[in-house]
Amino acid sequence: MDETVNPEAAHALECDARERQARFVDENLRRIFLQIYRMVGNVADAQDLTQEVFIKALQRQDQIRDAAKAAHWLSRIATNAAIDFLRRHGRVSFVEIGEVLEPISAPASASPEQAVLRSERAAYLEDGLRLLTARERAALILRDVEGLPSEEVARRLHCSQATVRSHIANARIKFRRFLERRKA
Amino acid sequence: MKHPGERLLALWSGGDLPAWRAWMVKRHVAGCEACRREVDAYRRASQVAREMAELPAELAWDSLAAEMKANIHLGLVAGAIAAEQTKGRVRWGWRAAIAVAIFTLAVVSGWLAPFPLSKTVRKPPVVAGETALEPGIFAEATPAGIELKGNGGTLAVVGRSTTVVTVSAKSSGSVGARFVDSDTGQVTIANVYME
Repeated sequence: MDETVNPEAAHALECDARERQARFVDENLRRIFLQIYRMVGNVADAQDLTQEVFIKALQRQDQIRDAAKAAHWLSRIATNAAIDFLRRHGRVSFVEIGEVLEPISAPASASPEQAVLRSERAAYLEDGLRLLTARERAALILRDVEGLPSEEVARRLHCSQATVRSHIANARIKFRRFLERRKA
Repeated sequence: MKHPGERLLALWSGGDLPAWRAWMVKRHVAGCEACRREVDAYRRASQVAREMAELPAELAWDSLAAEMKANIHLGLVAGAIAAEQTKGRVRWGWRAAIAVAIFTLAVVSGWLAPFPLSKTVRKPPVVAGETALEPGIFAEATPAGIELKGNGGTLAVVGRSTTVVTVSAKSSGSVGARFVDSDTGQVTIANVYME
């Protein structure tokens, strides 16, 4: 049997794979970054994790042929990566947005007042989410912020719906109490 | 009137209760001002979480995205190189495993074969021999034993403190050695064939 590989065909296949990869990244990068950012709470860690998630996903070419399934699969990887990160680090660690944006150059339109407001807002969320466990935080973000149905949240967190409901209830109660204490 | 617990209200505020329980809570909340306020408080808290979790408007997304794409590409290239190296190592390990398995078989056969025992051992006529499995990878038989050498590493297939009587290396890719135990006179014949 002739096993000689046609160089032109091989090159075409490689180009096709690269194109598919680039499209996959373009279509999902912002969504995945935002999903991770919401869970870990700072841009630098979200950037690292997003990159890791995409590298891991793109090394499995066979999984990205179906765009819809791949997007779903990618979200699950991202959720797991963020939860693992939170477990490893024990808590969310918000940092001043100004600090992480330094090398990226923020637009000049951002006034000092806006910057202060921004850092206060980030610190506020940090304090609130710090009260939650990694799973409670993930459940709250996926359900209330991402708007996923609780069945999907359960699938993402690899637990039963009853457990997810418990995480969601705990998270909402803790977060609400935090807001009320801060208000008082 | 018994109020639903705060967990039930927290879950109902986001529509997370099963149908029957949801109906019960809904019925209660419709007629209870205090519980309605509780539910509103949970909904406001969820709204705050949603607003605060948005990506900062000041974030220069285009630059960040470009940086991430470049890093992803770099990571993939590095991963491909690492995978290629691992593949090479696996091939070497696979060959070594085959060689070890064949050698073990040969040793067992050698022990079981009825060889005449003799306490008198002559000095070995050949003390070393090697055969090339492929460029850079050799199987070598010495008085210390039989070894596979390649890529700067050595895998000792067998090492014995006994005397080697004969050693043979064939161009077809096999090495053999006859070991004689100086105490018992037991002869072990080891042949390692490589493919």
